[in-house]
Amino acid sequence: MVFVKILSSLVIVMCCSFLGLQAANAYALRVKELRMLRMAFAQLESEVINYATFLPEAVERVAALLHGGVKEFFCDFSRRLQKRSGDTAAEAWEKALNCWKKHLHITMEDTQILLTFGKVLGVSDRESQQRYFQIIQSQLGNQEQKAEEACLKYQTMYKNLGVLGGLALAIILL
Amino acid sequence: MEYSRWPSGVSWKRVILDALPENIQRVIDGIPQNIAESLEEIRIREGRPIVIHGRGKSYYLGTDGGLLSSPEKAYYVTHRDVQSILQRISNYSIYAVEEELRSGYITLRGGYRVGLAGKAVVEGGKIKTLKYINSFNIRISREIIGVADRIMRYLVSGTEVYHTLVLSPPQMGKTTLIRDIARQLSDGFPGFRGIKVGIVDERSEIAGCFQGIPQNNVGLQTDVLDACPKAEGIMMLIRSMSPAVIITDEIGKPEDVEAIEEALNAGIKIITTAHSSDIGDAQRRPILSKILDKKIFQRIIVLGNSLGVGTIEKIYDGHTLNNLLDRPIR
Ligand SMILES: Nc1ncnc2c1ncn2[C@@H]1O[C@H](COP(=O)(O)OP(=O)(O)OP(=O)(O)O)[C@@H](O)[C@H]1O
Ligand SMILES: [Mg+2]
Repeated sequence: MVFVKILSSLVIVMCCSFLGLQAANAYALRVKELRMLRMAFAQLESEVINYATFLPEAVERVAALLHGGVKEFFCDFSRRLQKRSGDTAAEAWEKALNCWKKHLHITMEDTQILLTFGKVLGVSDRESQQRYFQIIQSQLGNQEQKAEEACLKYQTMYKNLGVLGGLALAIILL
Repeated sequence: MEYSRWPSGVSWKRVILDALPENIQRVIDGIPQNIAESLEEIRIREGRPIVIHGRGKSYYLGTDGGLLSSPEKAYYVTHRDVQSILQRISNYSIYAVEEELRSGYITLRGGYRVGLAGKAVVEGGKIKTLKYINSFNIRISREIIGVADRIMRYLVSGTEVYHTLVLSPPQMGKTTLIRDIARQLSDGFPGFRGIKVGIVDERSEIAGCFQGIPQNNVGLQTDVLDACPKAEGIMMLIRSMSPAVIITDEIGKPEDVEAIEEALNAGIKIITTAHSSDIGDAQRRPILSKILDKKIFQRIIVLGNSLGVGTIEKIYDGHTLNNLLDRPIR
């Protein structure tokens, strides 16, 4: 009987710690993803502004430099453009983003920024495209900073909360 | 003279449907076969019905592509349609087609031209770009095998080909003519054995390449540098393919002139075109006059429409500037 109790409390603690770790990890991942997005836009800007590469190809090239969910998002967007299924680039962007945002750790606010950018991507001359690229990069920079702060603030908290919560739960239940 | 049977009369659909949003695709795809085969223009204007032109007739189109003689039941083009077309023909990249917007048209794969109208943005007296584009003219160009039949003898002497310049106002058949000249020089014609021809096809209009393969008959011994800037393309052909003749459309930039001189020095003949109504007009244009002054061209052909589009109005001897024709031919 004692053995079962010890075993089940161990399981409870482990599960809670794991959940806590995941929550903490999400903060770190958001920072990482925002950073990668910013890099992706810098690369895309260079393809668009310096080489005037057509968007579907430019996005594909940039995707090759990325990984994880951000890569999948860019690949999906490029595929949609190449298939010409969506009527406009903005639609393709939105659909790709909606598809992949659940696999990313960015917030609603981050998503909104990306959605807004999608509406202007490709639809104007170089000069104004360059402005849009600068805006999105600085916006993402700000979000990144906020994300880093949140990460510092909450990461250890969630980790501890997981372990401690698990212990508390085990004590109460048993 | 015959309209080419290869590729079939409706091969334009593959490229042009791709440039249109789905609801307009349905309209255009529904055009009856016999009309589609001789279609020349599709006019798409925001808030108005689609109009097609061919063999001198025009029709409104219903939502299923049926031909209508009055606009009441026609398909009316929406703002969304227009935006979608613009995105598709620019490959979702307006920033990459700035130069085309300035010139007023975008060339699709295979050399189909889409003319554009909207609001011009002017800077320093020059058109910087077009905004609020709301009207498209999709031109379905077709090769006309044999248009050059009656003038080939003026362009060669024995085995030698003359440096030739074709002049005309817009839309008078320059591109159509040099396409057939390319085919005849390449394949040969009575009294002339075929030679190696190189085409620098900046806008894919001459050969109409689809993924590098000419869709128009430009001859068995013809190499095409597709979508290549003229001046660089000429240099490249000189080095790589050693053609006897280089054919290219619409010269007008200073670097084009340099490239032509380079070809001359390499002993290669040049056949090209320029926008101009006649020699006098050409002499008033800075770059054209420079070439004319150098007396590079041995033959200068002037096209017009005194007997219909594509009329050969005059063929000048480039040195004496005598007209070799008694009267216009078509
Ligand atoms: N000899 C001809 N007979 C009948 N139609 C012709 C003839 N030559 C050209 N055309 C038609 O006239 C139209 C314009 O021809 P083309 O594109 O060759 O002209 P262009 O002078 O090169 O025009 P642009 O100035 O726009 O380059 C095309 O639709 C073509 O099919
Ligand atoms: Mg032409």
